[in-house]
Amino acid sequence: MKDLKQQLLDGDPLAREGGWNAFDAQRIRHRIMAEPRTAPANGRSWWPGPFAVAGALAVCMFLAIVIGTRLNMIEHGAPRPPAVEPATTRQMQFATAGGTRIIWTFHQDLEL
Amino acid sequence: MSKRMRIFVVVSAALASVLLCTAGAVAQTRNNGFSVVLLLGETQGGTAGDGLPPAPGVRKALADVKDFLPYRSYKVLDTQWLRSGSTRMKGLDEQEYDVDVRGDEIVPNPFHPKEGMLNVLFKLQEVGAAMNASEEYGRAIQAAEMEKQRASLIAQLPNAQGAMVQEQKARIERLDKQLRLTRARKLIDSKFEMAPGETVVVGTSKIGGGDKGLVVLLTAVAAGGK
Repeated sequence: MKDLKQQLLDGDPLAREGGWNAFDAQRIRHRIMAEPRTAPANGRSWWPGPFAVAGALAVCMFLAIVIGTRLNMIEHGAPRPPAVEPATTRQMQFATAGGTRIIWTFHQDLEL
Repeated sequence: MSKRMRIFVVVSAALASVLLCTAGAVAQTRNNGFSVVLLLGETQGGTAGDGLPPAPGVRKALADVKDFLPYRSYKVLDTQWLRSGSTRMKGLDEQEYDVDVRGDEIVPNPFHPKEGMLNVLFKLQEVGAAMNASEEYGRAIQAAEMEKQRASLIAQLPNAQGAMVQEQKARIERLDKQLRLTRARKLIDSKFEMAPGETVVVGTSKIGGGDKGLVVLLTAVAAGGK
């Protein structure tokens, strides 16, 4: 009585196939040997390229300048109350029809 | 050095050169300094703008503000030109003012596309003004003490005789000068933007206007003297 192992061996189709012929074996060997030499040229490198890096750098610098300038505007753009006497001075800005801007500071007890 | 590395170095150097040249070009300020005209505006008086500099920008600015400010006449107290920094200007009755003007050019950007715009910091204070609040507090106490002395001297004046009268008057004058220095204060501390050649009117007065006001016509002199 054949055991399971023997039945599997008898049913294996590969066992009945012949080996590779010399031509196929040589072709596959050539392919395997050539692959490492061609792979770097065809594969993608981690390096994104100098132009991409330069472009990213330029974009970063541009954004830094824009954001920095914007923050500066936010910090200094609006008229500030005078530092020394905030309780007794008041400042206002307005523009005339002719385009001249007036920046006026009122003092509570200024005598000239 | 590999080929990629060489390309990277060349591109980086070119980019850095372009940025440096751009920054340098922007840093070459188009502003050629500031013209500062100190005026005394008065609700009483004659013709407006006596002795004003002939610059059309200054005259136009004064004409523009005539309807906005309550003053009928303007007297020129002092005129100066400075590139940037501090100067001392003469005021009324021997009063002097320290004027400080700083202008930083705004680098053109999408929010500020116009070239040559300046961030200007303008300060005007009486000579000897206190630097901080605690110094002001100390001076207020000193001023109160001087006021008492002055009141006492004035009260004694009718009883003084001969040389005493002149001496009392001289002491009162000295006290007045000391009081002026003790009460010196910062009058204007403003920050604003200016275009080259623009004249901005900066001023100060008593709340409610008063009958006098200090008016400064500040002009950012553009390259070429405009």
